[in-house]
Amino acid sequence: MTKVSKYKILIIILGIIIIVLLIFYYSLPPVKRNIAKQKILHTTHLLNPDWSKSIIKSNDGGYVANFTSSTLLVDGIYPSMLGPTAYKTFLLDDREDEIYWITGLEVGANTNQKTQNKSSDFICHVNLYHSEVEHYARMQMEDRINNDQAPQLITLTKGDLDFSFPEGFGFPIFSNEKILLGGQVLNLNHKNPLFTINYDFKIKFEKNKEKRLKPLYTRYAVLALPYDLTDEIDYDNQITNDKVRCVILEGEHHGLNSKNKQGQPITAFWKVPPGKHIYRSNITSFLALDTIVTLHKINSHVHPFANSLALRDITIDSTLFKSVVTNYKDKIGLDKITSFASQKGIKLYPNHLYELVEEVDNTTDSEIEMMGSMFLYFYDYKLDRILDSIN
Amino acid sequence: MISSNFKIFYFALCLGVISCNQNQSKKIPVISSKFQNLEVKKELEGMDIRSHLNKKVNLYNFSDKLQLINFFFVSCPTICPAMENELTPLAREYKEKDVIFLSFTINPESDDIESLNIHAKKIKSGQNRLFLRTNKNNIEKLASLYLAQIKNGEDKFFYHTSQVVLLDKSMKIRGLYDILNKDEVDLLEEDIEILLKN
Repeated sequence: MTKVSKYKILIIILGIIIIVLLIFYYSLPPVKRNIAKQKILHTTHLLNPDWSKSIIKSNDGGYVANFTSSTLLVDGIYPSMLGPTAYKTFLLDDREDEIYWITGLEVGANTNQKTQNKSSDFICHVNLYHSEVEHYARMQMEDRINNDQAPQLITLTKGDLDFSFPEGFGFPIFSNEKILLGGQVLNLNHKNPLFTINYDFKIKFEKNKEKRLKPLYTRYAVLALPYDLTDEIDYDNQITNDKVRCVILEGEHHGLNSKNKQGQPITAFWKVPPGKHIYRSNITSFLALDTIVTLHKINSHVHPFANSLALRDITIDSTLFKSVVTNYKDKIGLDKITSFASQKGIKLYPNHLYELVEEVDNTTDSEIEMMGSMFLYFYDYKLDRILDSIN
Repeated sequence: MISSNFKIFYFALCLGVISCNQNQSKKIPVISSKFQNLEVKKELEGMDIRSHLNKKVNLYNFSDKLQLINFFFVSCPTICPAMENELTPLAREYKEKDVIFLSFTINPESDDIESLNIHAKKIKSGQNRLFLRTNKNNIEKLASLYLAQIKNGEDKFFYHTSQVVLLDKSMKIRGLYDILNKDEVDLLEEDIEILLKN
């Protein structure tokens, strides 16, 4: 066989391998395609795969841990939950074995895109997780292991990217406890993009040996609606429709793994037809209150075209807090979502019923996808007592 | 020439001291000391735990070693092979050191000693790797002590996570790591190295 023929065979084999890889790549669902793409770009160092971390003492006497994420490529329209992600496990300070109080989280984005969009428009959400098992074992609260409804300590979404607990309150973690920090890209408006993005995170904290705060614990409440398994909803017949159309993800209903009291499957991600709508669901079971508690912080999450999300006490027919949402006027996206923070707090009662109510105005002429949830932070009197005994 | 060699040597020495100090200054937490409880010790020593070699195993006999624990079952089609891809090279890396890898089956009905032995041979496990079997009640007790989740809420079906548990030579739990997360595997290796020096 001549040298030329050998090269020809080699080129044909390489061509076949490339074609097979491309077919495999494009057969992946968008989320997995993004993961594969970012992995290749990071492994080859075409994009910076590394994170950086530094801790500084802030002017107010507290501390700020600054993190800069790896770099991600934005090369398409990414609806909520479908963009590339960057996550990393950290210890805040492994040279200490002390309790730190997380008091806030702030995030910003850096892009090299040249449009009028703000860099923060490309943030879908940011999550800060703690290691639930390690955390509660070390806090001598093993009964709470696997009882968290959501493993996130804090979630930020576009519209509210600067989170702070009220003065004097915080979430205690150990300095050498594993935390997971990261975010996901969103791109609702920028067509045919090709730019890079990375995130700057600031975790604000206090050291317990310098400042003792009051502990909070989290409850995650989602607006959950029954959906029609057949997807055959007659939107014109609003009187008889008590179900929504569920968002489909990777060919399946993106529903919750539970049912409502009527035994109907429920979803936290649903489709909204054009026009104004009000959605509500009872969240009493999400709160799981066994005593009177005080609510000090609420952080709301909605999708574009929502106008508000309210926490209501059904029993006394009263709105406890209404998160007001401002949408962009010239493009799709959330400009601002108001949150609640109070040192005094609001009392919630175990014998009351509570609900979330979301107002939506779909100004487009087609269906949009919607959700509504609240992270609720209550004073943790049980942990407060334990912390007294630990110290 | 001598001067430049000395500079390189001095630079390397400084780097070594710095990296050594970084490791030494790391404070690895004690997550649980339950295995030191005398009642727990008595209960565990009374358990009939058998290895894939059909030998009775007393977990406290490994207290001169670091122990890395995980839960699995032989016929697991999803998470176990991925975990094994990480655990096998890790066990080989530490085969000459005082680290033992203990894998408990959560499905003792199907995973008899012979199945475990075949599994051990299949993955070519070394002497620092034991696949262990005991009854379901004992497994539940052990999982609770190792802070491992092997049940789905109130449901009765058994499953396991990708968590591995690191015990030091005094049987204290010093770390819980997701073996499928590269960052956590890096932390695990760092912690093993530090604890081996202690």
